[in-house]
Amino acid sequence: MSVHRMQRIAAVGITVVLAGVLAAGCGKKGNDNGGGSSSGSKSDGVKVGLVTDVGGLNDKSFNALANKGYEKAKDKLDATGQVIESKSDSDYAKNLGAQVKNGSDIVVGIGFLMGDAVKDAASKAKDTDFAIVDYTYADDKGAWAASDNIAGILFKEQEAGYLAGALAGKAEMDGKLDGLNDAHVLSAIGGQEIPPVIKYIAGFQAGVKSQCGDCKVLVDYSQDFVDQQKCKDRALTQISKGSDVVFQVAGGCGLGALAAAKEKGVWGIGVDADQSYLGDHILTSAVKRVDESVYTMIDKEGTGDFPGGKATVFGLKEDGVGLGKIAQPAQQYQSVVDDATKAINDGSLTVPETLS
Amino acid sequence: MNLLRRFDPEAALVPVLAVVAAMLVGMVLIYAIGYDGIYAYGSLINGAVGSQSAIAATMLRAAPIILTGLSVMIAFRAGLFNIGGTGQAIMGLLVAGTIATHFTFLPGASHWIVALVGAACAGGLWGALAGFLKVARGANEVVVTIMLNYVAIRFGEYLLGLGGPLQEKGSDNPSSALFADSGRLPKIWSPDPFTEVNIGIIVALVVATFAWFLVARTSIGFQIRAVGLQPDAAEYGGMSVTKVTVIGMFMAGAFSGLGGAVQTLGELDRLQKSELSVIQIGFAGIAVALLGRNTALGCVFAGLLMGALDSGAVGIQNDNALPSGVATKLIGVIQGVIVLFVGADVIFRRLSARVAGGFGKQRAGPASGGVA
Repeated sequence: MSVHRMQRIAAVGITVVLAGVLAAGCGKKGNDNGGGSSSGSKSDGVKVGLVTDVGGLNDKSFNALANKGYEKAKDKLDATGQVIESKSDSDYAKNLGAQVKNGSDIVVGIGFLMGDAVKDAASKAKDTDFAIVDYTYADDKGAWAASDNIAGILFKEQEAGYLAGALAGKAEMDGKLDGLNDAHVLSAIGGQEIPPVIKYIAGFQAGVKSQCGDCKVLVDYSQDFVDQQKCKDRALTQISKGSDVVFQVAGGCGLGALAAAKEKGVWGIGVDADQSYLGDHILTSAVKRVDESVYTMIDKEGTGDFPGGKATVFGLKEDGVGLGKIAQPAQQYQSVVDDATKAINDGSLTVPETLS
Repeated sequence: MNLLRRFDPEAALVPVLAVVAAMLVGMVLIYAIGYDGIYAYGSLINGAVGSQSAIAATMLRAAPIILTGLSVMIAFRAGLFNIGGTGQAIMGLLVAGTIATHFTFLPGASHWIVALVGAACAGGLWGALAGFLKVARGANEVVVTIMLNYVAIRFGEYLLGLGGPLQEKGSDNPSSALFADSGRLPKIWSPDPFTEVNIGIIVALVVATFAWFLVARTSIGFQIRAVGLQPDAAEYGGMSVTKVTVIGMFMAGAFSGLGGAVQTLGELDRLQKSELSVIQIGFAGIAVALLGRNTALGCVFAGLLMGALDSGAVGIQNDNALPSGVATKLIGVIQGVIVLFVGADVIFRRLSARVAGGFGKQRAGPASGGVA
């Protein structure tokens, strides 16, 4: 204990001295919370503290992507830091606090479930910047209901969903791909009825309708982002009702939905990450570039223009959302995607955020 | 065999050996993947007990699982296997959260106390339901409690889902409104602003004392133990197995309900629908009770140890002692192996007892038949 305390005091001392010397370079090195034992030595790159939600780093999706953005920042920007995984919602406050105490310049909370915890931690650690993926503190009138050291990161999921929907709708209308039936039924499985999930599905629905007016989109929620079996069961039900394209919007759970599609010889659409590696049955993926957004935030922290006190929206235009790899047989419909992309980018098409 | 088991150093030996053995297994695993096990364990210990903040984090993690551990313990003493800790905790936290959010007319400390009492009653009734089904219809409590877990999860998801009665009005998120400050558990120790120990740990210790007293020093406790050891003999001796089963499951449910409430009102700001399907304290309670050898004191130590291991995972991650994502898995493995070793001992003893008893009976049967 006493050795540890001496290390801490030494660390604080070194930190304070270095903070003075390097004040011009990086704005926020001086950390009044004690700092980790290494906070004094590695001060050229931004110190990043990543906290995952309960999905963990192996979700092959959201948390994994954020980690990828952090790894890229380690590579390109000489960032340092650490990742802490959360096991339950009650871990968020403790883990965010641990990252502040580690002397992080920027603490990144992954996922909207951490909204309250990030707000609380940021109000207590005014000298640390926070970014939160998939969340905003702006109320209906646009006023920021949290401290200014938080930057929200939002995505226009509906735009990615729309592109995937347009592609699927066109394929459905055409009816030539293997595995498609004549029922004109597609489906989506959401993890929970939370805004990012709903926006994906709303965009998907609109995209499908734009190409295939009489197509029906079945929507179901697994109430789970982890348990693959739950999504698989629901997907099998949807497929039995005639769905031949299953869009998963349920993180790790949704991998089960894609497995069901493979098993039944129909198409699946991945989410968040490019999930084409799962097999030839992946029509495409509605991609959310969480990695790019996290990288951008770390970069901005380093250059001193951290966008605190507001939410930064990453859309198709900003390369924040898009489509993953399109399956070989469906590449003949690429022009549909290109047209929709153009319409969204020039503002002539606004994709709805809510289900119709 | 003496009914009133006194403290037995041999009984404590097995859990300690199990922990040591599991830690060694973990150490081997770390070296096997090419990392420095000594350094990683140093970080683990540092994260678990190496500073005031670490001790506070361990206490925060221990409080709810001590309570769910006591839940499994008391049911086990009555001869029941309560796998329904999850469902009972959820019923508890739903009621506690509702009281904490909406019953703002309750003055001062009575607000959170009423919330905890409500949670204990809700969890208790949920547990008693399983007990009732067992005695009234002969339904196996293992199956019933597992199924009631899912009923509780779905019920909570309905309450908190979009448009549900507990969902915050005007919000897009499937969660309740914020708890009122008076409904949250008061903080008793803040080594740093992010790790504030609340009164939950005291609640857990008080309940543990109560559970010990109940089992060891009261009439109903004696009945619980008697029914747990040999229900037929207890019935013959004039005890009501029906009453004991329902009361035992009520107690078990009440403790789990408190566990859910302590975690929620102590560390969260509102009820979140997503928390319901990932809540782990119910099953963690089984491990705690097993490691604690189904004694109240054992549950306290086991809960603190399991909490310390989880805090230690954060310590490892703080120091980057293992690659990202490995620390939490490693701790999971260690906790699993601990349970395996402790459980294997129990299984072994049971098996040897049963094999010995079984042989006796089987030999008696045909032998006497042959003579006749």
